[in-house]
Amino acid sequence: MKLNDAGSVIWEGLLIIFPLCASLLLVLEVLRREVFQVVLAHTTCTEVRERALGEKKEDIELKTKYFLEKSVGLSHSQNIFAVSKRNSFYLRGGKDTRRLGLGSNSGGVVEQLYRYPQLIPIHLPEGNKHHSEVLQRCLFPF
Amino acid sequence: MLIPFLIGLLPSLVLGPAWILEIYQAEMQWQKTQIGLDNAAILLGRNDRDLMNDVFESEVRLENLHQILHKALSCSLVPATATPCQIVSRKTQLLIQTLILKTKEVAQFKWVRGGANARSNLLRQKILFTLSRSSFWPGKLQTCSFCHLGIHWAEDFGELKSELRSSRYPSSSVKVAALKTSNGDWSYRLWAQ
Repeated sequence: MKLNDAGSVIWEGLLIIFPLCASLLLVLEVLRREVFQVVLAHTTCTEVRERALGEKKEDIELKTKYFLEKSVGLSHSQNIFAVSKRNSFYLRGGKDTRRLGLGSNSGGVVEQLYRYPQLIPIHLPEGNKHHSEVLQRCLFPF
Repeated sequence: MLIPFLIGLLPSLVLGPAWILEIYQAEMQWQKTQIGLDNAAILLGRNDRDLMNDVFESEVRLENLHQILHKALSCSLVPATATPCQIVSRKTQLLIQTLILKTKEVAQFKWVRGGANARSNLLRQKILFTLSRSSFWPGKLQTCSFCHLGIHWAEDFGELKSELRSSRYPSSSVKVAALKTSNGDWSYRLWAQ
């Protein structure tokens, strides 16, 4: 390999590192969001089922906390639990459930909104957005 | 430049979605198992509710027979009516014993059938599970203090509770039992834990 060739390889490598790291970060961000979607789907569906079957609210929260600790780690789960909003309500089937994208059956619904810090901030006219939100709803028909 | 870039990114582009797909599939499988267990528990609950309603319907007949028997036993103590009353009391005793036996047999059959229905329902969905349910219908008969024959089915059936637990996800379980409502009819309830 000539000196010129070696230089061009190094130069090319340096040029690649930045877009490669940015792309990897983007992929990681997407993967992380997907993991949160699944974790949320699991917790909302567990919660709505247990509420519909008349379990104690404290027991349900304890189980949710334990699951979050196991799936996303202790510090992160505490953060998630502190900022998450939890709503539960009963919906009659039809317009209301269809509007929320839950089909046409009536039943109990649990809704959870989690906010988590983003790896890559998004620049918005109002300022940089450092958090991402995932909303999940689960219907337990009865 | 594009080829090394793609080579660097390719593992995450391929492995990432594969990993997410695996997580989604695990979650879907868990939800499917949970729904399957709940549906099987509902089948069990309906079966037990109908069973208990039948048992307590037969209890009304049993009480009527006891009234006849008590009258017959009382009148058999009077010498003038002793013979016909003894015949009536013997026949009524036989009827009571037959009714108790028949109720027990039918209840046992329905109890076993309920378990079998829940099992076949879960096996059809290819869900691995364990069913904790006593093999015999746990009904106990209280005896009458006057004639010492069975009269009331005990209403506190602690052993009526059945539990369905997933073998694949041990934390996934549901309990079900028939319960007496305030208006005297039987219903059933599911417990998540």
